[in-house]
Amino acid sequence: MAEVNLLYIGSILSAALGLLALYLVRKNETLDWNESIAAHILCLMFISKGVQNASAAYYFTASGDEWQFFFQLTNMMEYFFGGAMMMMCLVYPIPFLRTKKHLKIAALVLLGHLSLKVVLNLAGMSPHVLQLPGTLYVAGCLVWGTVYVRFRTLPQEQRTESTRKIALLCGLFLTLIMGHAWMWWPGLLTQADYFFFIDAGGGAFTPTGWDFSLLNGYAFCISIGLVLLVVELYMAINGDRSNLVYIVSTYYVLGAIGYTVLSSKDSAGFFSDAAGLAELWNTLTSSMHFTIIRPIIALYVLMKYDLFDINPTTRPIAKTMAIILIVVATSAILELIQTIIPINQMVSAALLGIIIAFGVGWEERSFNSLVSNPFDIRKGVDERWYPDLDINTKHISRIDGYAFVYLLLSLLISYIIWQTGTPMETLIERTEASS
Amino acid sequence: MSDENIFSLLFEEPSAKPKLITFFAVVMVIVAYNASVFFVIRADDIAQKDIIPSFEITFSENTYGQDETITVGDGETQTITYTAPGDVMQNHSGFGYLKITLTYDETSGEFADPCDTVLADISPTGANAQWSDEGNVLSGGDSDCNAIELFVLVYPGYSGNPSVESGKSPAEWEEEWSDATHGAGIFSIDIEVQVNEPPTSGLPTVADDGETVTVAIEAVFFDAQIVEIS
Repeated sequence: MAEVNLLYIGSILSAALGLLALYLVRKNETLDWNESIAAHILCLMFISKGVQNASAAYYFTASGDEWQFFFQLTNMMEYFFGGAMMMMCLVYPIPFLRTKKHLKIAALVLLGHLSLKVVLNLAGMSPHVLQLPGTLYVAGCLVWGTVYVRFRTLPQEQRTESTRKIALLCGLFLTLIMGHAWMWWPGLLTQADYFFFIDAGGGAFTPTGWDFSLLNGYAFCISIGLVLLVVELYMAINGDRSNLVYIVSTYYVLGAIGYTVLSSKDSAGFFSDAAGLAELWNTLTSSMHFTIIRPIIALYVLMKYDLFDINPTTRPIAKTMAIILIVVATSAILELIQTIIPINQMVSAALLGIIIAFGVGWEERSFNSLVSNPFDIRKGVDERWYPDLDINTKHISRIDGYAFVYLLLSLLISYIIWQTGTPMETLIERTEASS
Repeated sequence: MSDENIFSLLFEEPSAKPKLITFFAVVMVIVAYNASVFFVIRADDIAQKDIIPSFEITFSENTYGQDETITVGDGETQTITYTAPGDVMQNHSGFGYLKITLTYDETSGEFADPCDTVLADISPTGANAQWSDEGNVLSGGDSDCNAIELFVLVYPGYSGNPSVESGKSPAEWEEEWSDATHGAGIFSIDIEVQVNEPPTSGLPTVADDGETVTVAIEAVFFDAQIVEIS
């Protein structure tokens, strides 16, 4: 139940971040074309995560056949998240798409990929291996991983603050997207059940090919994470330490600890019907990453990488957004701790008050620090990395409209899928076939 | 130069080539390892993981009896108790159900004395049992010297009949049918007698002031056998 409650918290955090950030991004007309596209996409990704988290929570607690509606809506939002992430990694921080033609082709390919997934859903063939789960994560891994390695391992004399911040940004995006998978590295290396028996739909709902495609994505994520860890440790030893070393090593250390918890179960890890300690561990690690850590990383990127134009008009909203994130995240973490250590509610309320008091003070200082000293990832970097495309900001803002149409379509498609009952039929057929 | 190929930029720096190639090599090695585990090393286990096993679950029963005869005065209530012995609880998979039979006769010896009214009631407290099960008979009474039967389901879902179940592992089924907490505690049976006087009760020498009731307690314990059939 704690996991479901965390999904509601994650929904509020993601939606609040996405909506408020989108307002601020739309106000910012100083961004370069690739930054503007990335900022819009990042905000929309979190709005979709807000819808997805709420939908997943209802899916897990549905008592009737309405689970099919929430199941489909959750999938639709995941498709959007994956596609948006793919588009973002191709333009930011280093544009791989370097002409308007590139942008159009990429958008069409992603649209085709997304359409295929939805058509397979509507045709009653979901989950289907042709939906290629995890593939977009593979692409995202490779793009951001390549940029990270390229800029982080530059010869000492070529390294600048900008190249370091480009590498840091790639590392943060990789953490945001795939931090949860990094915690499963011991499962992959030791061939543990909790990794290889991964099962997104429960039982035989997902075909073997589908499971492999997803696992393949996770293997990519883990390999990129290991590269990050090794590079960051090497750099730290050689006197060029980045905060990324603490972030990545935390995930890998948690993975090592989690191995002792999850390997005692003979079922799969995150997607399983894990109970007891395994469920608690998943809540405190994977679920925490999905619902709380992701929005916090996104907030940091949006503010520190100057994707907002903070001025006297926008400052109160940016500040409100930061406070919402900090207060909700803090209270959620405290509530989670309360589920483990059953402390009196009055005590936890008092603790929350104290933490918020400190948090608000800290937030004030952190906020000022973030907005007054943003990173410039172009300063001193060869201009050839950044093609100059003449794309009107208003055209980029249309992405928001397309996303809104997608959301409406998602609701409609989910309703149709629910009424046709195809997920239920698939579940019954595949379960009967395997018994 | 703005539309310069991104790959030429990535590999332009001489020192970048070996680093990026190493990076791709590491990734490919790990991904190949994942594929080899999935399709070769653990292929059989993975193929089996979605197959839902079926189990036949049968039960052998052992009944432990306890008889007690008590005399209850008119309008009085007496309580007798039953506690499952610890060694019996340990020697069996579980405590299935408790059956209580009360028998009595008219023992006053008076001419034309009708049977007394005997009421029995099991308090749904004290012991861990399925007190809200629909099949329970927690109270009963009779005025015709017929036997009164009470029944309490102790182990959840127990019927004594064999069944075929799907899913879970043998160990999980064993665990499900070997919970010693069911039946722990004290069962209390309240027995009340209301004397029905004989027609001659007005005579000074005629008296029916109670009844003798025999309480037979049958505690049914079971041993579960779980056999995987597919």
